[in-house]
Amino acid sequence: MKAKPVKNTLWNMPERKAKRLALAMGGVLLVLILLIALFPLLDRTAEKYEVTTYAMGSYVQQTVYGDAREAAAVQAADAVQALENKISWRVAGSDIQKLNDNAGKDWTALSAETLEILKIAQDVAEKSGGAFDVTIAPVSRLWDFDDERNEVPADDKIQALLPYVDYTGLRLDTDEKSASLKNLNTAVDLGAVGKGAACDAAVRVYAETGVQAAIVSVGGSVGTYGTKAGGAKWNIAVRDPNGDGTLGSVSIASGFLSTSGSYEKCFTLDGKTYHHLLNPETGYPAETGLVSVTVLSDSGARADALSTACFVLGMEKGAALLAQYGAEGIFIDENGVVTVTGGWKDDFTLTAEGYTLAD
Amino acid sequence: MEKRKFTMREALWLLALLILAAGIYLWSLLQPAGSTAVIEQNGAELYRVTLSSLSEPEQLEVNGTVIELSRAGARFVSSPCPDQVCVEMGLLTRAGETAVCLPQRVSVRIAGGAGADSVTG
Repeated sequence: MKAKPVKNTLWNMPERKAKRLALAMGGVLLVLILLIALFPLLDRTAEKYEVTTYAMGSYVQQTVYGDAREAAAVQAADAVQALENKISWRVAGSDIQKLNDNAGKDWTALSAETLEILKIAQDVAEKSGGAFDVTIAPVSRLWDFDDERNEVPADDKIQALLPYVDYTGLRLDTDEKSASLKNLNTAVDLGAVGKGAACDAAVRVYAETGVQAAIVSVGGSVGTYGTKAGGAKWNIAVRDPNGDGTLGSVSIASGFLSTSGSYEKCFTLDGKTYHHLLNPETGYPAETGLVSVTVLSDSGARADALSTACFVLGMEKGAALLAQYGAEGIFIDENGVVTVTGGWKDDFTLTAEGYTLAD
Repeated sequence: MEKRKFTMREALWLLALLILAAGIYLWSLLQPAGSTAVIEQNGAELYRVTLSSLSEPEQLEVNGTVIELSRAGARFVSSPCPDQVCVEMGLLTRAGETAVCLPQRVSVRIAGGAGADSVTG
Protein backbone atom coordinates (compact mmCIF):
# COMPACT_ATOMS: atom_id res chain seq x y z
CA MET A 1 0.00 0.00 0.00
CA LYS A 2 1.26 3.38 -0.90
CA ALA A 3 1.46 6.02 1.84
CA LYS A 4 -0.74 9.01 1.20
CA PRO A 5 0.99 12.40 1.02
CA VAL A 6 0.65 14.14 4.36
CA LYS A 7 -1.44 17.30 4.21
CA ASN A 8 -1.16 20.31 6.46
CA THR A 9 -4.30 19.66 8.46
CA LEU A 10 -4.88 21.30 11.82
CA TRP A 11 -3.84 18.16 13.66
CA ASN A 12 -0.95 17.37 11.47
CA MET A 13 1.21 20.34 10.56
CA PRO A 14 4.61 21.78 11.39
CA GLU A 15 4.73 22.81 15.01
CA ARG A 16 5.59 26.48 14.48
CA LYS A 17 2.86 26.93 11.93
CA ALA A 18 0.30 25.32 14.21
CA LYS A 19 1.30 27.54 17.10
CA ARG A 20 1.05 30.66 15.00
CA LEU A 21 -2.30 29.62 13.58
CA ALA A 22 -3.71 28.86 17.01
CA LEU A 23 -2.57 32.16 18.47
CA ALA A 24 -3.79 34.12 15.47
CA MET A 25 -7.21 32.43 15.51
CA GLY A 26 -7.65 32.92 19.24
CA GLY A 27 -6.36 36.48 19.05
CA VAL A 28 -8.66 37.53 16.24
CA LEU A 29 -11.63 35.98 17.99
CA LEU A 30 -10.76 37.70 21.27
CA VAL A 31 -10.36 41.13 19.69
CA LEU A 32 -13.61 40.78 17.70
CA ILE A 33 -15.63 39.77 20.69
CA LEU A 34 -14.07 42.45 22.87
CA LEU A 35 -15.08 45.04 20.29
CA ILE A 36 -18.67 43.78 20.13
CA ALA A 37 -18.91 43.66 23.90
CA LEU A 38 -17.37 47.04 24.57
CA PHE A 39 -19.04 48.94 21.73
CA PRO A 40 -21.98 50.20 23.84
CA LEU A 41 -19.52 51.52 26.41
CA LEU A 42 -17.34 53.28 23.83
CA ASP A 43 -20.38 54.73 22.12
CA ARG A 44 -20.69 58.23 23.56
CA THR A 45 -23.96 58.78 21.72
CA ALA A 46 -25.59 56.75 24.48
CA GLU A 47 -25.48 59.97 26.51
CA LYS A 48 -28.76 61.30 25.27
CA TYR A 49 -32.03 62.56 26.63
CA GLU A 50 -35.30 61.67 24.93
CA VAL A 51 -38.67 63.15 25.74
CA THR A 52 -42.10 63.50 24.13
CA THR A 53 -44.31 66.45 24.99
CA TYR A 54 -47.37 67.98 23.33
CA ALA A 55 -47.89 71.32 21.60
CA MET A 56 -49.16 72.74 18.30
CA GLY A 57 -51.93 70.16 18.32
CA SER A 58 -49.29 67.50 17.94
CA TYR A 59 -46.40 65.75 19.63
CA VAL A 60 -42.93 67.17 20.14
CA GLN A 61 -40.35 64.39 20.27
CA GLN A 62 -36.80 65.39 21.12
CA THR A 63 -33.49 63.56 21.38
CA VAL A 64 -30.74 65.77 22.78
CA TYR A 65 -27.02 64.95 23.15
CA GLY A 66 -24.32 66.61 25.21
CA ASP A 67 -24.09 68.59 28.42
CA ALA A 68 -27.24 70.27 29.74
CA ARG A 69 -29.31 68.14 27.37
CA GLU A 70 -32.27 67.82 29.71
CA ALA A 71 -32.46 71.56 30.42
CA ALA A 72 -32.18 72.28 26.69
CA ALA A 73 -35.06 69.90 25.92
CA VAL A 74 -37.29 71.56 28.51
CA GLN A 75 -36.40 75.00 27.13
CA ALA A 76 -37.04 73.87 23.54
CA ALA A 77 -40.47 72.48 24.50
CA ASP A 78 -41.28 75.83 26.13
CA ALA A 79 -40.15 77.65 22.99
CA VAL A 80 -42.51 75.56 20.85
CA GLN A 81 -45.39 76.33 23.19
CA ALA A 82 -44.50 80.04 23.12
CA LEU A 83 -44.47 79.94 19.33
CA GLU A 84 -47.92 78.35 19.24
CA ASN A 85 -49.21 81.23 21.36
CA LYS A 86 -47.92 83.65 18.72
CA ILE A 87 -48.89 81.99 15.46
CA SER A 88 -52.05 79.96 16.11
CA TRP A 89 -55.20 81.69 14.89
CA ARG A 90 -57.04 79.76 17.58
CA VAL A 91 -55.09 81.28 20.47
CA ALA A 92 -56.66 84.46 21.85
CA GLY A 93 -54.32 87.42 21.55
CA SER A 94 -51.91 85.67 19.18
CA ASP A 95 -50.20 87.66 16.43
CA ILE A 96 -52.23 85.84 13.80
CA GLN A 97 -55.54 86.28 15.58
CA LYS A 98 -54.85 90.02 15.83
CA LEU A 99 -53.84 90.13 12.18
CA ASN A 100 -57.06 88.36 11.17
CA ASP A 101 -59.17 90.59 13.40
CA ASN A 102 -57.67 93.66 11.74
CA ALA A 103 -58.30 92.32 8.23
CA GLY A 104 -59.54 95.05 5.90
CA LYS A 105 -59.02 97.63 8.63
CA ASP A 106 -55.52 98.22 9.93
CA TRP A 107 -51.90 97.09 10.12
CA THR A 108 -50.94 94.78 12.99
CA ALA A 109 -47.63 94.86 14.85
CA LEU A 110 -46.04 91.40 14.89
CA SER A 111 -43.28 89.66 16.80
CA ALA A 112 -40.06 89.16 14.84
CA GLU A 113 -40.66 85.40 14.88
CA THR A 114 -44.13 85.63 13.33
CA LEU A 115 -42.93 88.11 10.71
CA GLU A 116 -40.05 85.83 9.72
CA ILE A 117 -42.44 82.88 9.24
CA LEU A 118 -44.78 85.02 7.14
CA LYS A 119 -41.83 86.17 5.00
CA ILE A 120 -40.81 82.57 4.33
CA ALA A 121 -44.43 81.64 3.57
CA GLN A 122 -44.96 84.57 1.17
CA ASP A 123 -41.74 83.75 -0.65
CA VAL A 124 -42.86 80.15 -1.27
CA ALA A 125 -46.34 81.42 -2.21
CA GLU A 126 -44.84 83.66 -4.92
CA LYS A 127 -42.41 81.09 -6.28
CA SER A 128 -45.10 78.39 -6.36
CA GLY A 129 -47.62 80.66 -8.08
CA GLY A 130 -49.98 80.40 -5.13
CA ALA A 131 -49.93 76.60 -4.81
CA PHE A 132 -48.97 77.32 -1.23
CA ASP A 133 -51.07 80.07 0.34
CA VAL A 134 -51.30 81.02 4.02
CA THR A 135 -54.54 82.91 3.35
CA ILE A 136 -56.27 79.53 2.87
CA ALA A 137 -58.09 80.09 6.20
CA PRO A 138 -61.52 81.08 4.80
CA VAL A 139 -61.73 77.74 2.98
CA SER A 140 -59.72 75.55 5.40
CA ARG A 141 -62.06 76.58 8.21
CA LEU A 142 -65.00 75.39 6.12
CA TRP A 143 -63.43 71.98 5.76
CA ASP A 144 -62.09 72.04 9.32
CA PHE A 145 -60.13 68.78 9.15
CA ASP A 146 -59.01 69.21 12.77
CA ASP A 147 -62.57 69.01 13.99
CA GLU A 148 -63.15 65.59 12.43
CA ARG A 149 -66.72 66.41 11.49
CA ASN A 150 -65.96 64.55 8.26
CA GLU A 151 -68.33 66.55 6.09
CA VAL A 152 -67.82 68.03 2.65
CA PRO A 153 -68.75 71.73 2.76
CA ALA A 154 -71.43 72.96 0.37
CA ASP A 155 -69.89 73.92 -2.96
CA ASP A 156 -71.57 77.35 -3.06
CA LYS A 157 -69.95 78.16 0.30
CA ILE A 158 -66.53 77.16 -1.03
CA GLN A 159 -67.02 79.19 -4.19
CA ALA A 160 -68.19 82.20 -2.18
CA LEU A 161 -65.09 82.22 0.01
CA LEU A 162 -62.50 81.17 -2.59
CA PRO A 163 -61.87 84.72 -3.90
CA TYR A 164 -60.61 85.68 -0.43
CA VAL A 165 -57.91 83.03 -0.57
CA ASP A 166 -55.25 85.30 -2.05
CA TYR A 167 -51.73 85.63 -0.67
CA THR A 168 -51.19 88.90 -2.55
CA GLY A 169 -53.70 90.47 -0.16
CA LEU A 170 -51.26 89.85 2.72
CA ARG A 171 -48.74 92.69 2.91
CA LEU A 172 -45.67 92.68 5.13
CA ASP A 173 -43.74 95.68 6.36
CA THR A 174 -40.38 94.44 7.61
CA ASP A 175 -39.22 97.89 8.74
CA GLU A 176 -42.28 98.52 10.87
CA LYS A 177 -42.53 94.81 11.80
CA SER A 178 -46.17 94.72 10.88
CA ALA A 179 -48.57 93.13 8.44
CA SER A 180 -52.02 93.72 7.04
CA LEU A 181 -54.73 91.88 5.17
CA LYS A 182 -56.35 93.92 2.42
CA ASN A 183 -59.73 92.28 2.52
CA LEU A 184 -62.09 91.93 5.44
CA ASN A 185 -62.84 88.32 4.61
CA THR A 186 -59.25 87.19 4.17
CA ALA A 187 -57.56 85.37 7.04
CA VAL A 188 -54.24 83.66 7.70
CA ASP A 189 -53.84 80.05 8.85
CA LEU A 190 -50.22 79.02 9.54
CA GLY A 191 -51.20 75.39 10.10
CA ALA A 192 -49.19 74.28 7.08
CA VAL A 193 -45.94 75.82 8.37
CA GLY A 194 -46.45 75.77 12.14
CA LYS A 195 -44.76 72.43 12.84
CA GLY A 196 -41.75 73.29 10.72
CA ALA A 197 -41.50 76.71 12.39
CA ALA A 198 -41.65 74.88 15.73
CA CYS A 199 -38.60 72.85 14.66
CA ASP A 200 -36.84 76.14 13.85
CA ALA A 201 -37.70 77.44 17.33
CA ALA A 202 -36.39 74.28 19.01
CA VAL A 203 -33.16 74.32 16.99
CA ARG A 204 -32.58 77.97 17.96
CA VAL A 205 -32.76 76.88 21.61
CA TYR A 206 -30.26 74.06 21.00
CA ALA A 207 -27.83 76.55 19.45
CA GLU A 208 -28.24 78.97 22.37
CA THR A 209 -27.83 76.34 25.07
CA GLY A 210 -24.79 74.84 23.38
CA VAL A 211 -25.77 71.19 23.40
CA GLN A 212 -23.69 68.96 21.16
CA ALA A 213 -26.46 67.72 18.90
CA ALA A 214 -30.22 67.32 18.86
CA ILE A 215 -33.09 66.14 16.70
CA VAL A 216 -36.69 67.21 17.13
CA SER A 217 -39.86 65.99 15.47
CA VAL A 218 -43.02 68.07 15.73
CA GLY A 219 -45.83 65.98 14.31
CA GLY A 220 -43.55 64.56 11.62
CA SER A 221 -41.65 67.72 10.71
CA VAL A 222 -38.03 67.16 11.72
CA GLY A 223 -35.26 69.58 12.68
CA THR A 224 -31.62 68.73 13.34
CA TYR A 225 -28.89 70.56 15.20
CA GLY A 226 -25.18 69.78 15.31
CA THR A 227 -23.52 66.43 14.70
CA LYS A 228 -23.66 63.31 16.84
CA ALA A 229 -20.46 62.01 18.43
CA GLY A 230 -18.61 60.04 15.82
CA GLY A 231 -19.95 62.27 13.06
CA ALA A 232 -22.62 59.87 11.81
CA LYS A 233 -25.38 61.42 9.71
CA TRP A 234 -28.93 61.67 11.05
CA ASN A 235 -30.98 58.70 9.94
CA ILE A 236 -34.67 59.51 9.57
CA ALA A 237 -37.38 56.99 8.85
CA VAL A 238 -40.01 58.01 6.29
CA ARG A 239 -43.48 56.76 7.15
CA ASP A 240 -45.19 54.38 4.74
CA PRO A 241 -48.12 56.39 3.30
CA ASN A 242 -50.17 53.24 2.76
CA GLY A 243 -49.42 51.21 5.85
CA ASP A 244 -48.31 51.06 9.44
CA GLY A 245 -44.59 50.96 9.13
CA THR A 246 -41.73 52.61 7.39
CA LEU A 247 -41.31 53.29 3.67
CA GLY A 248 -37.57 53.68 3.98
CA SER A 249 -35.02 55.93 5.51
CA VAL A 250 -33.08 58.98 4.49
CA SER A 251 -29.82 60.23 5.93
CA ILE A 252 -29.01 63.92 6.24
CA ALA A 253 -25.97 65.76 7.59
CA SER A 254 -28.06 68.75 8.64
CA GLY A 255 -31.26 70.60 7.82
CA PHE A 256 -35.01 70.26 8.23
CA LEU A 257 -37.45 67.70 6.87
CA SER A 258 -41.15 67.99 6.29
CA THR A 259 -43.68 65.55 4.89
CA SER A 260 -47.09 66.36 3.44
CA GLY A 261 -49.21 63.26 2.99
CA SER A 262 -52.82 62.81 1.96
CA TYR A 263 -53.09 60.02 4.56
CA GLU A 264 -52.59 62.39 7.51
CA LYS A 265 -55.85 64.22 8.10
CA CYS A 266 -58.53 62.78 5.89
CA PHE A 267 -61.93 61.16 5.82
CA THR A 268 -63.82 58.95 3.40
CA LEU A 269 -67.35 59.74 2.36
CA ASP A 270 -69.36 57.79 -0.25
CA GLY A 271 -66.22 55.98 -1.36
CA LYS A 272 -64.23 59.16 -1.94
CA THR A 273 -61.35 60.21 0.29
CA TYR A 274 -60.95 63.87 1.19
CA HIS A 275 -57.60 64.96 2.60
CA HIS A 276 -56.41 68.19 4.23
CA LEU A 277 -54.02 69.39 1.52
CA LEU A 278 -56.29 71.87 -0.19
CA ASN A 279 -55.59 73.37 -3.60
CA PRO A 280 -55.92 77.16 -3.07
CA GLU A 281 -57.14 77.47 -6.65
CA THR A 282 -60.10 75.09 -6.37
CA GLY A 283 -60.82 75.05 -2.65
CA TYR A 284 -60.85 71.23 -2.79
CA PRO A 285 -58.23 68.62 -1.84
CA ALA A 286 -55.36 68.70 -4.35
CA GLU A 287 -55.35 65.81 -6.81
CA THR A 288 -52.01 65.45 -8.51
CA GLY A 289 -51.51 61.71 -8.27
CA LEU A 290 -49.26 62.07 -5.22
CA VAL A 291 -49.85 60.52 -1.81
CA SER A 292 -46.85 62.00 -0.02
CA VAL A 293 -43.97 64.44 -0.47
CA THR A 294 -40.97 64.73 1.86
CA VAL A 295 -38.76 67.81 1.54
CA LEU A 296 -35.31 68.71 2.91
CA SER A 297 -34.56 72.40 3.29
CA ASP A 298 -32.43 74.75 5.38
CA SER A 299 -35.38 75.98 7.46
CA GLY A 300 -38.26 74.13 9.06
CA ALA A 301 -40.92 76.64 8.02
CA ARG A 302 -39.60 76.59 4.44
CA ALA A 303 -39.51 72.78 4.33
CA ASP A 304 -43.13 72.72 5.53
CA ALA A 305 -44.27 75.31 2.97
CA LEU A 306 -42.40 73.52 0.18
CA SER A 307 -43.79 70.08 0.99
CA THR A 308 -47.34 71.47 0.86
CA ALA A 309 -46.59 73.41 -2.35
CA CYS A 310 -45.07 70.30 -3.96
CA PHE A 311 -48.08 68.18 -3.07
CA VAL A 312 -50.40 70.72 -4.68
CA LEU A 313 -48.18 71.31 -7.73
CA GLY A 314 -47.53 67.65 -8.51
CA MET A 315 -44.20 65.98 -9.10
CA GLU A 316 -42.74 67.78 -12.11
CA LYS A 317 -43.58 71.34 -11.10
CA GLY A 318 -42.81 70.49 -7.49
CA ALA A 319 -39.32 69.23 -8.33
CA ALA A 320 -38.70 72.42 -10.34
CA LEU A 321 -39.74 74.51 -7.32
CA LEU A 322 -37.38 72.56 -5.04
CA ALA A 323 -34.53 73.15 -7.49
CA GLN A 324 -35.06 76.91 -7.14
CA TYR A 325 -34.43 76.59 -3.41
CA GLY A 326 -31.65 74.02 -3.62
CA ALA A 327 -33.98 71.74 -1.66
CA GLU A 328 -34.38 67.98 -2.08
CA GLY A 329 -37.51 65.87 -2.18
CA ILE A 330 -39.03 62.39 -2.16
CA PHE A 331 -42.27 62.11 -4.13
CA ILE A 332 -44.52 59.06 -3.69
CA ASP A 333 -47.34 58.66 -6.17
CA GLU A 334 -50.54 56.64 -5.89
CA ASN A 335 -49.03 53.81 -7.97
CA GLY A 336 -46.28 53.31 -5.42
CA VAL A 337 -43.55 54.90 -7.51
CA VAL A 338 -40.99 56.69 -5.36
CA THR A 339 -39.05 59.50 -7.05
CA VAL A 340 -36.05 61.01 -5.27
CA THR A 341 -34.47 64.25 -6.48
CA GLY A 342 -30.89 64.13 -7.77
CA GLY A 343 -28.97 65.37 -4.76
CA TRP A 344 -30.71 62.95 -2.44
CA LYS A 345 -30.66 59.72 -4.46
CA ASP A 346 -27.71 58.15 -2.64
CA ASP A 347 -29.09 59.04 0.80
CA PHE A 348 -32.48 57.35 0.49
CA THR A 349 -33.03 53.66 1.13
CA LEU A 350 -36.34 52.05 0.20
CA THR A 351 -37.29 49.20 2.52
CA ALA A 352 -41.07 48.75 2.20
CA GLU A 353 -42.62 46.17 -0.11
CA GLY A 354 -44.92 47.23 -2.92
CA TYR A 355 -43.00 50.32 -4.02
CA THR A 356 -40.65 50.90 -6.90
CA LEU A 357 -37.86 53.42 -7.05
CA ALA A 358 -37.91 55.60 -10.16
CA ASP A 359 -34.62 56.25 -11.97
CA MET B 1 10.43 18.60 8.13
CA GLU B 2 9.22 17.26 11.47
CA LYS B 3 5.50 16.59 11.65
CA ARG B 4 3.75 16.33 15.00
CA LYS B 5 0.44 16.94 16.71
CA PHE B 6 -0.59 19.93 18.78
CA THR B 7 1.02 19.75 22.18
CA MET B 8 -1.15 19.84 25.25
CA ARG B 9 0.22 23.27 26.14
CA GLU B 10 -0.77 24.80 22.83
CA ALA B 11 -4.22 23.27 22.97
CA LEU B 12 -4.72 24.70 26.46
CA TRP B 13 -3.68 28.15 25.29
CA LEU B 14 -6.22 28.02 22.50
CA LEU B 15 -8.88 26.71 24.85
CA ALA B 16 -8.18 29.45 27.39
CA LEU B 17 -8.52 32.15 24.73
CA LEU B 18 -11.77 30.64 23.48
CA ILE B 19 -13.24 30.42 26.97
CA LEU B 20 -12.24 34.01 27.70
CA ALA B 21 -13.80 35.19 24.44
CA ALA B 22 -16.97 33.21 25.03
CA GLY B 23 -17.15 34.58 28.57
CA ILE B 24 -16.96 38.18 27.37
CA TYR B 25 -19.54 37.48 24.72
CA LEU B 26 -21.96 35.99 27.25
CA TRP B 27 -21.38 38.96 29.56
CA SER B 28 -22.20 41.32 26.71
CA LEU B 29 -25.44 39.43 26.07
CA LEU B 30 -26.49 40.04 29.66
CA GLN B 31 -26.08 43.79 29.24
CA PRO B 32 -29.29 45.72 28.57
CA ALA B 33 -29.19 46.09 24.79
CA GLY B 34 -31.48 45.68 21.85
CA SER B 35 -35.12 46.66 21.78
CA THR B 36 -36.45 48.65 24.68
CA ALA B 37 -39.97 50.04 24.72
CA VAL B 38 -40.28 53.45 26.37
CA ILE B 39 -43.73 54.62 27.43
CA GLU B 40 -44.28 58.27 28.26
CA GLN B 41 -47.27 60.24 29.41
CA ASN B 42 -47.22 63.98 28.81
CA GLY B 43 -43.43 64.19 28.82
CA ALA B 44 -42.87 61.96 31.83
CA GLU B 45 -41.29 58.55 31.32
CA LEU B 46 -43.46 55.91 33.00
CA TYR B 47 -42.01 52.62 31.81
CA ARG B 48 -38.84 51.38 30.16
CA VAL B 49 -39.07 47.69 29.32
CA THR B 50 -36.49 45.47 27.64
CA LEU B 51 -38.67 43.54 25.23
CA SER B 52 -36.38 40.52 24.93
CA SER B 53 -36.74 39.94 28.68
CA LEU B 54 -40.49 39.32 28.36
CA SER B 55 -41.43 35.66 28.49
CA GLU B 56 -45.02 36.42 27.52
CA PRO B 57 -46.95 39.48 26.29
CA GLU B 58 -47.67 42.05 28.93
CA GLN B 59 -50.38 44.72 28.94
CA LEU B 60 -50.10 48.11 30.58
CA GLU B 61 -52.81 50.67 31.10
CA VAL B 62 -51.73 54.28 30.71
CA ASN B 63 -54.27 57.10 30.95
CA GLY B 64 -57.05 54.95 29.49
CA THR B 65 -54.95 53.46 26.70
CA VAL B 66 -53.91 49.81 26.76
CA ILE B 67 -50.42 49.05 25.50
CA GLU B 68 -49.18 45.54 24.80
CA LEU B 69 -45.51 44.71 25.06
CA SER B 70 -44.06 41.46 23.79
CA ARG B 71 -40.84 40.07 22.38
CA ALA B 72 -42.17 41.01 18.94
CA GLY B 73 -42.63 44.68 19.78
CA ALA B 74 -45.06 47.16 21.27
CA ARG B 75 -48.50 48.38 20.22
CA PHE B 76 -51.55 50.26 21.36
CA VAL B 77 -54.30 47.66 21.82
CA SER B 78 -57.03 50.16 22.59
CA SER B 79 -57.60 53.79 23.41
CA PRO B 80 -60.63 55.88 24.34
CA CYS B 81 -59.61 58.53 21.76
CA PRO B 82 -61.92 59.25 18.81
CA ASP B 83 -59.44 58.95 15.93
CA GLN B 84 -57.68 55.67 16.93
CA VAL B 85 -54.53 56.78 15.10
CA CYS B 86 -52.41 55.19 17.82
CA VAL B 87 -54.09 51.78 17.45
CA GLU B 88 -53.83 51.97 13.66
CA MET B 89 -50.07 52.50 13.92
CA GLY B 90 -49.90 48.77 14.61
CA LEU B 91 -46.92 46.89 16.01
CA LEU B 92 -43.72 48.84 16.56
CA THR B 93 -40.73 46.60 16.05
CA ARG B 94 -37.72 48.64 14.99
CA ALA B 95 -35.71 51.09 17.04
CA GLY B 96 -36.91 54.62 16.38
CA GLU B 97 -40.50 53.65 15.61
CA THR B 98 -43.05 55.60 17.59
CA ALA B 99 -46.80 55.56 18.13
CA VAL B 100 -48.44 58.55 19.74
CA CYS B 101 -51.94 58.97 21.10
CA LEU B 102 -52.38 62.73 20.94
CA PRO B 103 -55.70 63.01 22.78
CA GLN B 104 -54.46 60.88 25.70
CA ARG B 105 -50.92 62.30 25.51
CA VAL B 106 -49.36 58.85 25.64
CA SER B 107 -46.44 57.78 23.48
CA VAL B 108 -44.66 54.49 22.93
CA ARG B 109 -41.34 54.27 21.17
CA ILE B 110 -38.72 51.63 20.59
CA ALA B 111 -35.34 52.79 21.82
CA GLY B 112 -31.91 51.21 21.62
CA GLY B 113 -30.15 49.46 18.80
CA ALA B 114 -29.10 51.11 15.59
CA GLY B 115 -32.46 52.50 14.57
CA ALA B 116 -33.59 55.75 13.03
CA ASP B 117 -33.00 59.02 14.88
CA SER B 118 -36.46 60.33 14.04
CA VAL B 119 -39.51 59.82 11.85
CA THR B 120 -41.06 62.10 9.22
CA GLY B 121 -44.56 61.72 7.83
